[in-house]
Amino acid sequence: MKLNRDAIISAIIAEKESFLQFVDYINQNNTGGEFPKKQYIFYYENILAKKVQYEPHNHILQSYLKLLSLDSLKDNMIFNEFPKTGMLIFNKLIIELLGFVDTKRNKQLFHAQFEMMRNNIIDYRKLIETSPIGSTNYNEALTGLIEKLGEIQCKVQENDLVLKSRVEEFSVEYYRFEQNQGNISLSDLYLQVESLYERNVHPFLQFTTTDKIVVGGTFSEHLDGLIYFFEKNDDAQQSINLSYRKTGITSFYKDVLQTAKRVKYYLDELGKRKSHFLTNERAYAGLIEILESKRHGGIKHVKIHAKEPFFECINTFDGLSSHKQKYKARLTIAPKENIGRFVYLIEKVREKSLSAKEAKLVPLPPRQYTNLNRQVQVAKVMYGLKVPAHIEDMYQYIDQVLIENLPDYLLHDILYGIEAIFPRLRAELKGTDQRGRIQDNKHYLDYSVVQYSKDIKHG
Amino acid sequence: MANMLKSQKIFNQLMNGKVINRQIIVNDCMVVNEDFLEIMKNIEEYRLQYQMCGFNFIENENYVYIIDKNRADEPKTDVSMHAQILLVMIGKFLNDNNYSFSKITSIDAGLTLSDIETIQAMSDTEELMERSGMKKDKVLDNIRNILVDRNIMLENITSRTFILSEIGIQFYEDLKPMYSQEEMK
Repeated sequence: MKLNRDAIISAIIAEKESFLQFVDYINQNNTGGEFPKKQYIFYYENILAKKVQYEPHNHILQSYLKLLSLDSLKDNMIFNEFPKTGMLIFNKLIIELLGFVDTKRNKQLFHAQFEMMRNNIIDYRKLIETSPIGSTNYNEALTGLIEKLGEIQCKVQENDLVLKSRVEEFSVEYYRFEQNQGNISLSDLYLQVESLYERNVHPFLQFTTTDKIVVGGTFSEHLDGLIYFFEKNDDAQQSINLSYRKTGITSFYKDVLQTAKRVKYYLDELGKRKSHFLTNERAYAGLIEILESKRHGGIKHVKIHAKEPFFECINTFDGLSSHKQKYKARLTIAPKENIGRFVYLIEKVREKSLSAKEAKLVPLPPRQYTNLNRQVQVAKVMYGLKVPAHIEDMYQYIDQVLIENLPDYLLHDILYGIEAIFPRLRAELKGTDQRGRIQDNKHYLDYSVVQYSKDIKHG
Repeated sequence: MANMLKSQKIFNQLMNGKVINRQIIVNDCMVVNEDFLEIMKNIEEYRLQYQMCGFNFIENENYVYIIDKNRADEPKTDVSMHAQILLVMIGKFLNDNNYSFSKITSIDAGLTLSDIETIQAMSDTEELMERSGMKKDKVLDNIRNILVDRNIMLENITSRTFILSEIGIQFYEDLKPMYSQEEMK
């Protein structure tokens, strides 16, 4: 049923909250104007119908039931429907109208659309320059060009607003992320901002720039070409009009540049954070990998050491150490240069006693007659001795003899030995100016060395 | 001509394995380090002095330290390993708590004592420190003895917070090419 479009559009604007959701679906899924029919039926039956039910005396609302019925919208070309796809196609004009009503819901222009606008201008330029001046083709092309420029100006203006609102959204999202309240991950946020910059902001800048940076000529260059064409053909009025139109569009460059700077700022900040995030996460994972390799349940306390591959590749603190410590004694022999390194180490270790603490020796006490049996035992050894012709150190000799003959020899026994043998050999003994020492685990005996020789005879 | 008084102070710092950074904290502000300026003004003299004593002078526009020429083939020291482990743990703490990197670079922010307690409480902290030969239950002491003592981190005495010095920041910059290349899953 054909109805007045004014009324339908008024109803759509009044119900824009729901209709904008269809636009959201289209934008989010990039369906190019299509959205599911069941979504509309759900709205009609569960939202609109119930609203009417709650306010039965609201005649305006009741009229919406007719105006916004699926048949009415299809008949009046607000929606188109392709059978069997289950999708409705929104009239482009209505989408644009809704986008105009709510800037945030509008979809920003992307690269292909800018390219199309540029190509349109190129086509019109060709047509104008090749058609005879004043001919129908020329006039139609001129009208088409002016219309197109009007359309482009509206789109560019609208796009600027859309981008600004997108950046505002990002700033809110970024703030929420900073406060740890956002639902979106760092990676997703980065991708969204990056995509906005690459797909929408950057092409927009390229489109509005007056610099000659695009192969095949920028929008601005082609308009300049047309302005020059009109000047050359004495159409100063058209030339001036066109230059005003051009300025009207390219003047957005400054605004877009401002937006681009803001997007770039978020992109840089997020990029830095993302890069630090990844670095920290992966470096820590590398550290844990070392840890896991040590958790083998074998020998206890397996240490992480500085030569692990993880540390090998980071050179920032290489060689950092306290150099004053290097004057401490340490084993610094390069393994390649010394095959006897282990022997050297053993020698070093043996220089130091491995026992916990060495007992301090005490001097041998004077003679003790407490053990007569022992004295007799030692004396027997001494009396049975065949003394050699010359003895360099009598004390050492007696010590040696007693060690050989008494299995339980103690340093005390040497006193019994001296007492037994010295009187017997007294005539052949000779004192010297040398000092000697004999010791066992507990005692030591310092003495003057006494020599024995058969040749010595004291009178 | 090198300043004799400053050169002695510099000698003591370098011989004790400290890094001399371009900036230090004085009265809650980042200011240019006079010792660093002294070295930069007389860089040739200092370079020669330490080369004659068997050291390599590691210098760039932000920091200076010396390494033993005789141990040039064994550059990985326990000190460097401990510093790296602590810094990587701090990085993980930033991630887990959604802090940006400026938390440990800005004089107005910094790692607080309670942040360090959080690092201590992280699941692998104790094992990492024990296995690498640090005191396992003393992250704060380790940060002070290893990072602050060698000027890898700077301590703001008033606010009792810790921020990275130039060499500390350089460590994270050096990590980036190795670990930030792949896409996040």
